[in-house]
Amino acid sequence: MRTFILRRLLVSAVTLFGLLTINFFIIHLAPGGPLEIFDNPDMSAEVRKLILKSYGLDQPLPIQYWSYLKSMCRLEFGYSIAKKRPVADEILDTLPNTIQLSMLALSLELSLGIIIGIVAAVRQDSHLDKTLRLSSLTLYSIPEFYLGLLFLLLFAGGVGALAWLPPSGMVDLVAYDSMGFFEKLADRILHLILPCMTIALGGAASISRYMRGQLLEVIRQDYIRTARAKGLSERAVIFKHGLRNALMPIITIIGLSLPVVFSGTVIVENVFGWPGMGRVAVDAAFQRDYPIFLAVNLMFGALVVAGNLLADILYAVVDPRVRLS
Amino acid sequence: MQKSTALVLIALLAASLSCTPKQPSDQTASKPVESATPVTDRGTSEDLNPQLEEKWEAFYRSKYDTGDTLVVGTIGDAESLNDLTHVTSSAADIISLLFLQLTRTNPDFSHGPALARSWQFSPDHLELTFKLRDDVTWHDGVKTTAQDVKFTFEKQTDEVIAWSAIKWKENIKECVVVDDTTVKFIFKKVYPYQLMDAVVGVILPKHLLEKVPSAEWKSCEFNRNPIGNGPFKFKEWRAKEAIEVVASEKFYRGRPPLNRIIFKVVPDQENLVLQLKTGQIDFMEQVPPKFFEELSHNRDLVPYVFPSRTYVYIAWNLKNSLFQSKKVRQALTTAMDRQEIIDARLYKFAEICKGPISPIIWAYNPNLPDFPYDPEKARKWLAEEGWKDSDGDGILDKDGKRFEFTIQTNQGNKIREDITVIVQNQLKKVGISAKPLILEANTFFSNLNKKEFESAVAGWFVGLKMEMTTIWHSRSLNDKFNHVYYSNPEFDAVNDQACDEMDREKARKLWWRAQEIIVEDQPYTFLYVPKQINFLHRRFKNVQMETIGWSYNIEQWWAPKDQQKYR
Repeated sequence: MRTFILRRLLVSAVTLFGLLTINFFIIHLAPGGPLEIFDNPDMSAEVRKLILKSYGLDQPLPIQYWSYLKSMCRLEFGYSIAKKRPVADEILDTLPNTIQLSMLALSLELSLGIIIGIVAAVRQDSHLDKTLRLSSLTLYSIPEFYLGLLFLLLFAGGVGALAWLPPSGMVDLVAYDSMGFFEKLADRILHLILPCMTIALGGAASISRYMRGQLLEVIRQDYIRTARAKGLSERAVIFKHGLRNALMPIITIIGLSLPVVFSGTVIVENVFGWPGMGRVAVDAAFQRDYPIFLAVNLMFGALVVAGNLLADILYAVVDPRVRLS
Repeated sequence: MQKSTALVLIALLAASLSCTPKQPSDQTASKPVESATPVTDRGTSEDLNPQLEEKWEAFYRSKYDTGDTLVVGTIGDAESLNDLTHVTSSAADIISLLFLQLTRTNPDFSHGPALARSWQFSPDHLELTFKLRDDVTWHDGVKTTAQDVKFTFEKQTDEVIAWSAIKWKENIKECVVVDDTTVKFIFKKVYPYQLMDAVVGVILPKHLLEKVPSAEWKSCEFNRNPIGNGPFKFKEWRAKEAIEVVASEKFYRGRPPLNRIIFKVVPDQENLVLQLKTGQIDFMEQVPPKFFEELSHNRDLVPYVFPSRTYVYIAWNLKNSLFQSKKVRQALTTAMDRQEIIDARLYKFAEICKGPISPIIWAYNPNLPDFPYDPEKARKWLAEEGWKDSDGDGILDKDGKRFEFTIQTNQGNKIREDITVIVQNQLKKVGISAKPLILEANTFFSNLNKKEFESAVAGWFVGLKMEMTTIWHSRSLNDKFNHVYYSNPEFDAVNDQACDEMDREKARKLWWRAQEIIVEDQPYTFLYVPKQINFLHRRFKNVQMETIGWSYNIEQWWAPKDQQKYR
């Protein structure tokens, strides 16, 4: 087990290094630069050169790459060019918000997906099953930005005077400071509903289809027939024997869902004005804010790699056959 | 409001989803408030405009209620609330609430007293002396003095800090402290914009910033946690979410009526408009024209419409052999129905633009020649230049070369994207093939600055200063902002003469001539000057929204007690 984990860790480290290198060259080779969008004729050419120099951008690319690697070894992320602050500060401000949103969305996605999958499998080929399958396919096919806008129109006051849910942000900015603890909590939950649902629904749809398929396959196995023959209740058959075995592949899917959830936050954070790292990433890419772009993508990469690592290890714990390969 | 001074290329990111407005039928629709004050000739003069000063002072004698919160919706978060390191107008808007300038710039460009009580030029006009107020304090209690002014000037001109408006101070030799409330600017030469150059930029607190080395300004603590001396005081910055400022009890004029102003960041435009409709924000600037009709039916909102300070154009790269003939460029403009663009895409919220100077600037020439839509004439002019469809494929050609080129513009600005297509259609009618090329914004601006384009749709945000050198002068031929390689010795001569002309009437004649030369040459096809549409909640009173800036007198806005919505 220990060698398995070690080997996995090594692979993760190599993956991250590759990611860091590819990111570095992609963003530096992209046309444009960090000064293009904010440039104005009142800024003299000398000043422009000084700014580039102060961020080390006047050096040849290989040298920039080398100093980037060195600063990464010291875990220094440098200074944001567009945000006028240390990159680490910008990440510390936004990373917790993204993790909060994505982890809640992931749990919602999993629980919804698993429940719907079980219901659909147990009631195989019923009208309920068909409706669930059709609606999950529909939900899975709707792009997130569109689903988000749809939710805005339906639940945040777009249509008529119905404004049930807040359309943006994390808290009610005007009243939050004067709220009591439980009011604050309720306010935060209200603000989470729309972005969370937008990310989770599509994923839940795909997980439910997986879950349904897995469960149906397991139910056909001999040991289930044996369980039924023993006279166990249907509930015990499904939950004790069926579900436990059908859930195993879902663990892998959690690992695979992470990148999807994170890319979902990038879009959803923009639609719902959620102050997260996804927005930092988008801004940084458009502004060619190299230091922040690299750091944020490394963060996302590290989160995904860590998620996969965890899924691999969990899977190995549940299924000893994996460790042998 | 520092950004109000600069000339900036704009990449207004408009929403990408369209929405059809209702037919104009409802009689209850609000009438837009047109509040732009006519421009007078006071932009460079040291005299006050008595009417505007009286209007400003009259507020403090009037009766008004205090209280309430104004929630401003913005697309982008600010990056720094330090005047010397900020880059966006989102930041500039907030900085202007937190800090004082030496003078207040009025809507007609005249200057009114702010941190400075009065000012005077020396007889040789090389020294400008400001008398400062002695009752202005920083929000931490320390007095604002002449030392702060001198300190600010030194930092503004510090190349390591690289203030984006550093050029404005290039003609000032030094700033001298005479005593605690007297400060003197010494100029290198006499020229019309001395007062404007001296007062541009807000004054910063020396006692808080003098220990910060210049190299560290780009990421220092003060950028995110500023201490100013203006009517409002910085309270909280929730990154990517909101910035809150509150009334300063210590402000020398007494506290402003509003308790708080919250700048709420909503990156999605559809969402922002939705929140305006549902009352979750009170104010939105630059509402896209397509939303006007729908929002004007909302009884809680008042529309403010006035000419914006931008103009949109198509640049013709003069290095390209297609565009080297003046006659051909005039024909291109004549082949374009600019009114169609304005009617179809801007819902009439724009005026046709004829030349390179904004109508809000004193030197604007209202009698410029125009090239009205006339495809027949365009075809004739092109034929005179040898462009004929000799192979019968519908596209003009000359010496075996087809009249074919690309029009670049930036992605994310729906109106500009549509313009490329409309222009493609219009030019096809005279036998010219123009292909739209929509590029990611940073790539597009980089192409523009490197002059790697055939033609391009772009826009300028015009400064308050009469300035044409950076974009049009032969001296700037190799600089990035003369995008089109424009060079005309006659223009150069007139421009240089106008820059140094102290007599306003003589200068005006010269500037008029300079504009005529450019228009005659048509290095750009000037498309239109858009109107700016802002919407504000009805409960706010004494609102004076102007081309110079929507928040010009925000420290005097107030809401009657019985209409106040928040605490």
